[in-house]
Amino acid sequence: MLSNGMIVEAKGLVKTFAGREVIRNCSIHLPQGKIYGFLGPNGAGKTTVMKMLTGLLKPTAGTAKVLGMDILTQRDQVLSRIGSLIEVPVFFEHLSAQKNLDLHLAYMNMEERDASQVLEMVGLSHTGQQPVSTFSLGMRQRLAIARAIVHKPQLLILDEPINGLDPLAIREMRVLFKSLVNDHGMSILISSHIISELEYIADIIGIILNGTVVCEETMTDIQAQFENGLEEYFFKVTNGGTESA
Amino acid sequence: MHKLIRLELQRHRMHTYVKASILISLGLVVFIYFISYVAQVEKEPDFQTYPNIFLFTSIISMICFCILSSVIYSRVVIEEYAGNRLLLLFTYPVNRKKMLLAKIILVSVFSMVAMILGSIVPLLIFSVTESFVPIVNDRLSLDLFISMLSTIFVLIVSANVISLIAMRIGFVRKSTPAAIVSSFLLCAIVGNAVIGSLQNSLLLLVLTVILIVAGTSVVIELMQRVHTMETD
Repeated sequence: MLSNGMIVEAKGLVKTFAGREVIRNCSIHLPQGKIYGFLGPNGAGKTTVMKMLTGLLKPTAGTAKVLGMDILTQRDQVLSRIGSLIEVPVFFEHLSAQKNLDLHLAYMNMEERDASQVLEMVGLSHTGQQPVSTFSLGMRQRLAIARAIVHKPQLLILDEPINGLDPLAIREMRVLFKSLVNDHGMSILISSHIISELEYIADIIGIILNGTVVCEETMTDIQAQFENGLEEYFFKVTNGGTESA
Repeated sequence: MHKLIRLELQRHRMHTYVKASILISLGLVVFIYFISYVAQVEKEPDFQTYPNIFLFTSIISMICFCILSSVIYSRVVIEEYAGNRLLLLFTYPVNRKKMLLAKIILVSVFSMVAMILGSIVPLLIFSVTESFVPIVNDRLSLDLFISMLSTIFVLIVSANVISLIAMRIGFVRKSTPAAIVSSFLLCAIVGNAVIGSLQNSLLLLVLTVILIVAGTSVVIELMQRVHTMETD
């Protein structure tokens, strides 16, 4: 059961690597059915936090509840209900897109699902038996998104998912993400370097600086307070209010 | 477990390793005729008896299959638990220990079957032609075959344990060459130990038990390690 309707609720997360605190006292709150835009400068800790939320890294301290379950003690239950794309995606290069998704579904214990519909959603239905090794960067990214959503997860954790996509594909993915939330009841935690992109789709913005989420604000509030929208807000937060966009 | 092994089979290009096993086997056929013929021509006494020829061929077979097995372990285990591949592996809602065990079972069963066929078939072909057109001046007997089978069994156990230990070394260093070089070095040590113990059944039994315990320990330790492993 979700506590307070939060699909992701992390409190006081800390992660140290070789004695160095990379994430400190970090908290995140993502309500169900919303898109959370995760912003922060390079090296602020976005990927590390996402890895902790997907059980790839173990927090040194703090708790992370995903879909109301503890990611450490109920890892497998959480993993079967979330879809993720973190860092550069890897595939079984000698197999086709369809076969890659079929294998993914088998590991997710959902062999009965048909992956062809999802391939169509991301614009890869034409690839047929073509092995993934021949795919372009953009096609690989589309396939990675397809793999994240093919098992119909309740939560998507996407780290820079639009990297390598052309403007047309970025727009297609924007529509896709919105439809996944509105029509399929998913929630999304998404990070991106492109501020305007998050402005289009996010309901909530969380900004991480030096390993701590320093603020979480709804997009409506940001747009009401800042004339230039998210970019102005982002620069205000990251520069301590001394500079605006 | 059956499903996990089946999925591993789909993910990896096992037919490449089948081809490699056939090539090794063909190489051994050529090798066994070569040493028998050269020994006759050069009057080399060590290789004018079937037991020695068979033993030498089996040892060479063990070395070849150990290296093949290490290459497969590198692809199926070492590379899967390094870098971005690990991110994919760990996002499956599958018990990590079971996943690793499925991989190890796949590789060890494949290596075992490949080595049984790859070692026995060349010896059989050679024995058949020897009974019609002999190169070696020695007598083939059923006893020789039975003792060869037990030697091959010990060598198969050795090859499996060697490649497991080599894989464990490669796993730490995240390196395929480290696994292959370790495999080669371990072959030299274990191979000599096996040859040295062949005349003493008790010693051979002790050696086999030690190898099985060593292999099992490597698997258990690696399963524990994978269970608590984190990504980079």
